[in-house]
Amino acid sequence: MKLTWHIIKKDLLRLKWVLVLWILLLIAANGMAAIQARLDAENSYPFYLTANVMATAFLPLIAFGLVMGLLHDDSVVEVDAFWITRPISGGDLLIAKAAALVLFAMIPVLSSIPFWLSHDYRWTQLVFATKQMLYGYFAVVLLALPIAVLSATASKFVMHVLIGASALFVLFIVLGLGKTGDGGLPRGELVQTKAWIIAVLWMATAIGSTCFQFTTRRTRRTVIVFGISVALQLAVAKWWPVELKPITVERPGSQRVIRAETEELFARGQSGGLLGLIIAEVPLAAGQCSSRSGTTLYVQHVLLDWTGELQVAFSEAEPLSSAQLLDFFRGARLRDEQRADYYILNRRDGRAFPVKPVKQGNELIVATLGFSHAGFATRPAGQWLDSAPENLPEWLKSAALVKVVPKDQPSPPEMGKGGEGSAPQDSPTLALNE
Amino acid sequence: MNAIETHGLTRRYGKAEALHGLTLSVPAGSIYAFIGPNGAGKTTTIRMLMNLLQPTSGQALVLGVDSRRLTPTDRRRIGYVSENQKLPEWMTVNQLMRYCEPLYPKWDRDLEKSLLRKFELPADRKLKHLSRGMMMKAALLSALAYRPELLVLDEPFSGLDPLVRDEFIAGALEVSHQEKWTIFISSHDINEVEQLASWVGIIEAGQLALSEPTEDLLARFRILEVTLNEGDFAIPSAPETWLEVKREGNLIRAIETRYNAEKLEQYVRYRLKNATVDVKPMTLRQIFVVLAREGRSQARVVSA
Repeated sequence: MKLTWHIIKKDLLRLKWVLVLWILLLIAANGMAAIQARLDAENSYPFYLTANVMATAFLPLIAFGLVMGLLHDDSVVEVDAFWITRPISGGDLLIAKAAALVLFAMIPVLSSIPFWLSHDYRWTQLVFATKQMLYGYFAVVLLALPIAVLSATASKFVMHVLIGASALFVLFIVLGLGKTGDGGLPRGELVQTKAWIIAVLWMATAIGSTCFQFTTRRTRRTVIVFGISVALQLAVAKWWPVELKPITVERPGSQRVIRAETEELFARGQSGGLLGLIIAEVPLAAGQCSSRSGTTLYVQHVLLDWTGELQVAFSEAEPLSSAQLLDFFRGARLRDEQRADYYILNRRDGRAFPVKPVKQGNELIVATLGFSHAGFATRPAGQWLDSAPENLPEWLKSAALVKVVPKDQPSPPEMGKGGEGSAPQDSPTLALNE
Repeated sequence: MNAIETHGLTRRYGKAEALHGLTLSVPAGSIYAFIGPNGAGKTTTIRMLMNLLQPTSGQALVLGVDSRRLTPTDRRRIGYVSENQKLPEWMTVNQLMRYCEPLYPKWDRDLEKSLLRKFELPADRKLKHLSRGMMMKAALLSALAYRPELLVLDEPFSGLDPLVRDEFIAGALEVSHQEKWTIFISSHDINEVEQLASWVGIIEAGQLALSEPTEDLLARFRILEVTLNEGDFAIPSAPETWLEVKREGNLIRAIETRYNAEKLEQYVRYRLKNATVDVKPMTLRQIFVVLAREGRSQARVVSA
């Protein structure tokens, strides 16, 4: 324990300026998010954008650099590393480095806590936001870990990352990893299955090869194991045929795309044609949506990503908050650059509630642009833990989000099977009355 | 008791064999000079002794422990300084000492201070801002201050100017003599270690050419200049213990590798018909050069 702390202190001293930079950027990003939450739509967007760029680009980059710096000060690849000839075992060093990585994980969390508290987070939300932030941090760490372990110097690490990324890009095109056999996009469930298998393989490889290399320093064997694992992951990406139900089963937070032609029961363009209808099923269970009394749920944007998954972002309006709604719809565009109209569809009775980007005063924003930015949203990404499932309105539990493109078809869709009528077309929001 | 023993130590890099069946003993308390030309296998040997490299076959025992199983406790008894070692150059000299100190229960602050003064090292300067000689002295300081039983120095003088080299040697010797440590020092330049070595091992092309006390080595090697009597040019073949036998007229020059004054006298008296023999002692450097040349010529014969 004493030795572990001794090595950690040395690493803290070594990386002090990077850590200071990291903390300053975290504070700046949180500050930007705090400012944007208090400005109107016109003025807040630059702050939102800056916070988002910091969250999605700079901060993961610094975390990547921290892993690199931490490991290369005591390289486990170099034969002539200083630590090897000192009374430090590979196991001692591994424990110290792992402890340092855990310690570093506290930095973004501790930097964000004042910001979260100033936005009235309750303890459940604090726990969730912390968990989400740690997921993001450790995802970056695990991504960098095996490459950093197997690179003798920082420059080699950067070179290996660039070569790896380029090779992956080329393989992606050559092997057609993003496509199915018929050239189309693969089914979301299959992509999800593959992604999980690849993530688990990478994680196991990262942890296994790191432990092995630290304790044995058999670099050649570690490289071989790492290479086999990467080849296996590519094979999974290309050829894995089976959707694994336990993985793809809908959980709170999951979204599933249903192709329009198979789901006409849900919604239909007013003119009668389906017109590129896409339906995103959004299981709004506990932890997924707000059920606090008096709050209003907004759909912020829906984006189709490269896998065909829909990215759905919500905002929550809190009448008592002093913050104002930011017009996220301004940035919400589809791949074909068409603006869409959105509807929340009650699948039980077929009622559709159109949702429009109407700003209403004194509302608070939640942004969900990915796991890495959680610290900079004013609420954890679209998930609310303080509501029990039984408190949710029954219809909302099975609600679906419907989007109709192109924009020339703005009116609410016809009712799906069993529909009984639609909400008023000019209804801008969906009030969650319990 | 040997501080270091190796048995059939072999290391291959792909198809190339850097070290071939090295069997070596370094007596405890000795200052063992491990000499050989560049590429002979000195650094590979030391790396295996320190468990920086795994042997392909064979075994090395360091302070009685298999080098592959050296524990942190064992490492507290071993000091290592190498020209190749990657020091944490971002640290100041003082930070390096403070980082090392808790790793060694026997760390001696007084010795550290005294060596710091002796080596004239600036405690607050970062290692990366030190000259190469100063950096080597800092490395030596960090290896001496805990009074190791075995000090392994891998080409420590490489690139050092004579003044720094002498300071380095003086620093290492001063402490080691007091404590009766074992010092294992490798070098490609015999001049560097000639003055201090009590044992010498010469390695040539991955194989040990010789290993014995310096005193014995100096005692058994001699330069012979034999002046034959007038007209007596038909001489028998030279003894097997003679190397580099050259004849110029009535003068024969050779290196005697098993010098024994009595036997030589008898040989000259009966086989060379009372020729005159001039016997000169050799320096380690001269012995090293002769053996290196001999090794190469044998290698050429083998390869032919």
